[in-house]
Amino acid sequence: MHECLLCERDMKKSKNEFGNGCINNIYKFLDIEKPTRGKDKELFLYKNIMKKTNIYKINKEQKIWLADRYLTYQYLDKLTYGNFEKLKKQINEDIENVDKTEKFDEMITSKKIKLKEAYDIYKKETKFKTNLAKIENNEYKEEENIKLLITGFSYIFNIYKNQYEKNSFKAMQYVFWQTVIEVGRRYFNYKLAAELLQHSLKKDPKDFIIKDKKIINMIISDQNFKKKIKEILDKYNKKQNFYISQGKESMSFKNNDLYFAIHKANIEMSAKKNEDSSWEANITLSDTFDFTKFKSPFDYYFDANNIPKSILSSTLYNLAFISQKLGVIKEYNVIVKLTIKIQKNGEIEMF
Amino acid sequence: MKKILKRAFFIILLLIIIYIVYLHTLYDYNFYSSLIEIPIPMFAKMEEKDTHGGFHGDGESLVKIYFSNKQAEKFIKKIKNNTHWSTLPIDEILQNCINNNSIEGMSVPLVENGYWFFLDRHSNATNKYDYNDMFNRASSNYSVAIFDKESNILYIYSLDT
Repeated sequence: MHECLLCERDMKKSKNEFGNGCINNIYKFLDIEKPTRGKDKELFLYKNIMKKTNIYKINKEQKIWLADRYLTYQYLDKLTYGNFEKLKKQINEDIENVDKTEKFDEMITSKKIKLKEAYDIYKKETKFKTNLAKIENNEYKEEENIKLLITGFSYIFNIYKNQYEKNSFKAMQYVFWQTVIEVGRRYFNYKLAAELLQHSLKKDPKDFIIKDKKIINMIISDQNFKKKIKEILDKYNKKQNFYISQGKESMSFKNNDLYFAIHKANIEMSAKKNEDSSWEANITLSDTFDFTKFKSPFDYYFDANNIPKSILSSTLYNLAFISQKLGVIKEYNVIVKLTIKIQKNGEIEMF
Repeated sequence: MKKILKRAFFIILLLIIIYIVYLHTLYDYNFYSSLIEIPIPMFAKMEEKDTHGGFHGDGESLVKIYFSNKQAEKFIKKIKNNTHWSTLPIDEILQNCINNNSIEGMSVPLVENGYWFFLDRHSNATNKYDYNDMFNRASSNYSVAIFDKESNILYIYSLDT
């Protein structure tokens, strides 16, 4: 089987190193004018590359290796995401020494990265940038933007073939999550969720302590928060004071932004009853911002009572799980401390 | 000919649906068996309430699995061979954690005669069978299983915050 050097598809009877389609792509990529009819495109390509690299006295095989390494370098050079400087430097060395090379395997980078691998990363990054531009330019409506986010970028969460693809995917995933944050802010006004996701993308995110009064008001106004506090006070109503240590009680938020940002939090609480039967309480809500369990396709379907919403949130969850495994998203603790007064009628006010 | 093809199509569709339901059922049994480290008899009656979901996958779940006498006998034999299972009573601190929570009307009753199992699934857990560490963390990811010898019911409670 004789394969094209660029795409590795079987070229059957052709004796060339590149298929017809691929050689045309290469000409376009390198911005070289195609030769006039009658001239061999492949040989013309080798001549062009030899001219660009200023390497002339090489045999037929060395010309092919030179083209291979030169193209590999050019594809890597066009990449924005991922760090390939060391590899490019080594490829340059291989190019400079091609006239002394007797076997392709002797080249340092021949086993590190194939031409096809560099080409694949380049294609994926081009697709990524195209889809990103569509979202940034608002070419799609809100729902379409979200669908595009999922389908247009899911390949960057696939199993990577080599460490270079891994580096590239990691960098693109980082940009993907930045886009999710932007879409979340723009369309849904989920400020806290966006802020927590942004924080997880930092190199070494410290514990996130929520002090913003608006967010704290959002928390104490949350229906489920009020319900849980009432539940706890009803349980301890006969006591004058009580303490619940961390890990024994938890609650889920109803408010959309809190739901996406935190969802379920642990409660640590100490409370004291006043003479007028109101309570004063110190509450610490805590959670870990993380994605620890991959969801099966069945979990996707049965996740919520709305299948499209279910699929969207489950897909985003699994993508976040992959990003956390790769170290793009990092886990950290989210903590909020409240000192509140709960009136006899259940009304909650901040101290 | 058209009628035959139509019939064949519906039969195939029905078979696919049955297969998907079977796989989903199989998935649950395999998942919980792996969680509690003992195989659960396939097709034992299972009731499940689960609030896990959303962007973080947080929530709690409670599963009740009903065993026949024979199934219970085999299950208890396997429990006795597993050092991570213990005889009841469960420690009060853990009992309070699971009894505090009712999920859509379903809860774990106070069981006096049987066995229990604990698994700490948190990423920071040093000993996943020890529940003491989990009270010092910002979040909880754990599962508790209780097998009631009187009623032959297995309860599996899981919490993820």
